[in-house]
Amino acid sequence: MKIKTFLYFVIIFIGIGGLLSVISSPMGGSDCSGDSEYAAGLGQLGAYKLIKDYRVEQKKGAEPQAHMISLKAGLKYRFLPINNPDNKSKMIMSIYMNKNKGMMLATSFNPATKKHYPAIDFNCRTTGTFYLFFEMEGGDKGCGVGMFSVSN
Amino acid sequence: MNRLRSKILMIGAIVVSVILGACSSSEENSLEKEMNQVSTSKVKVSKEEIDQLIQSFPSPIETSMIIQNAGNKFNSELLLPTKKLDRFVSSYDKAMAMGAYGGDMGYINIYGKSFVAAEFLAAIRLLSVDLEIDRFFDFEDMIRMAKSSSNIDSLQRMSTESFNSMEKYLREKGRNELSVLIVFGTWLEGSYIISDIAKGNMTPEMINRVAEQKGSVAKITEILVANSEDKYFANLARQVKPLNDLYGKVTIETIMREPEMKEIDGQLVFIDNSETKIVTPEGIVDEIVEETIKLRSNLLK
Repeated sequence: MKIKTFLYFVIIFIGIGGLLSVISSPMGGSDCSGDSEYAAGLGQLGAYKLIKDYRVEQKKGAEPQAHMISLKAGLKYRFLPINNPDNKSKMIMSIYMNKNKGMMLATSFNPATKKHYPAIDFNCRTTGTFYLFFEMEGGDKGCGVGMFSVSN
Repeated sequence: MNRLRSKILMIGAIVVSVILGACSSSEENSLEKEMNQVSTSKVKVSKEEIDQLIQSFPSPIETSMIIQNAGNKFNSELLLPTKKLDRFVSSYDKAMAMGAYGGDMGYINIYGKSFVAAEFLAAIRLLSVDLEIDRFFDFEDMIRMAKSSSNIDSLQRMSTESFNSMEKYLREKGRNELSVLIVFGTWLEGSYIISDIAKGNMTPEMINRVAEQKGSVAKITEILVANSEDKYFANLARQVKPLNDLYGKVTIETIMREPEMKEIDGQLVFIDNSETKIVTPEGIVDEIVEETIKLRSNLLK
């Protein structure tokens, strides 16, 4: 009787903890770690060398995630947006001149055709600091991994 | 009496739940404890500043690729000596040296000279053990790859992943000062290699590569000066100042133009149409080159 009651309480508390973690996750409990997306992305780099990966977790209506990046004239860059399989909307990766989205240099989504591209290749001719943005189409929630790579 | 037993059992259940929850993150907590114990620095660099600084520095891979693209051959004499590591005394010295050896690893990997990498990995291992950040590197695997020259791509990727994880961890745990010094060391080593090559080969390409370091020098100066209440950072700021002053004479103008977009075999390609004009008064690049070599010699050699 004692053991039964004890286990009963343990199960209740573990259940409450699990429920809270599911509620707080943007993907409602599915794996948002990005590890499998990262592994998939490595296979798509080809001759490009990984510089950095970004783990993206967007809540519905959240501001796009922004990161500063350095690009060097004369090098070719490849950016890969890799979606979590449970995403309802696809992740968009865009590069802008500045934080205020002044001039767009490249994007993985063409709003005119509504087409998403699996990668962006950017042939850089200007050394400088730029901004990489991540968001889900339509400001939706979702998870994914962005990969930033380079080739000469 | 039964109600009392139930209450005791309920408390027991909570305790067990808490212990179970704690177990899953026990490794992380122990790491946090360790880091908090040694985090007594006076340096106050905001998270936003450090994030911006680190993200705006080129990676050693990019620096090495531009050196290779300019037609320069690999020169092992340019690398930082791996002997007598005890010349790096404080944790700050060690962090800067670790960054520099990381920069050298980028140079070695891009040129595919993995047979040289093992001794650099051994140096990074010793420094990272002293700094208690060796857990981010799988040195056994990396040294094995370097010695067998079997998979330079995997070695390069593992180096990048290890440095990225370590740098992220240091920033998250508030060890920004070590993070800054690692980035500074990496930048200084890359900048030194570019400068030394340019010294004997002042082509327009190499002049531009030296001149375009201006932004990085300005950013590192800003962070060092902002934290100069720490004696170590104040000394670094003093030592970097002459180089920053020289770069003040270099003018970089960027004319931004809309990029061209093409779809090639289903792949979206953007071609940058912008243009950069770099103006360097006569003799300034020579002075910058000498000053960079001097700075690296003073701080790392």
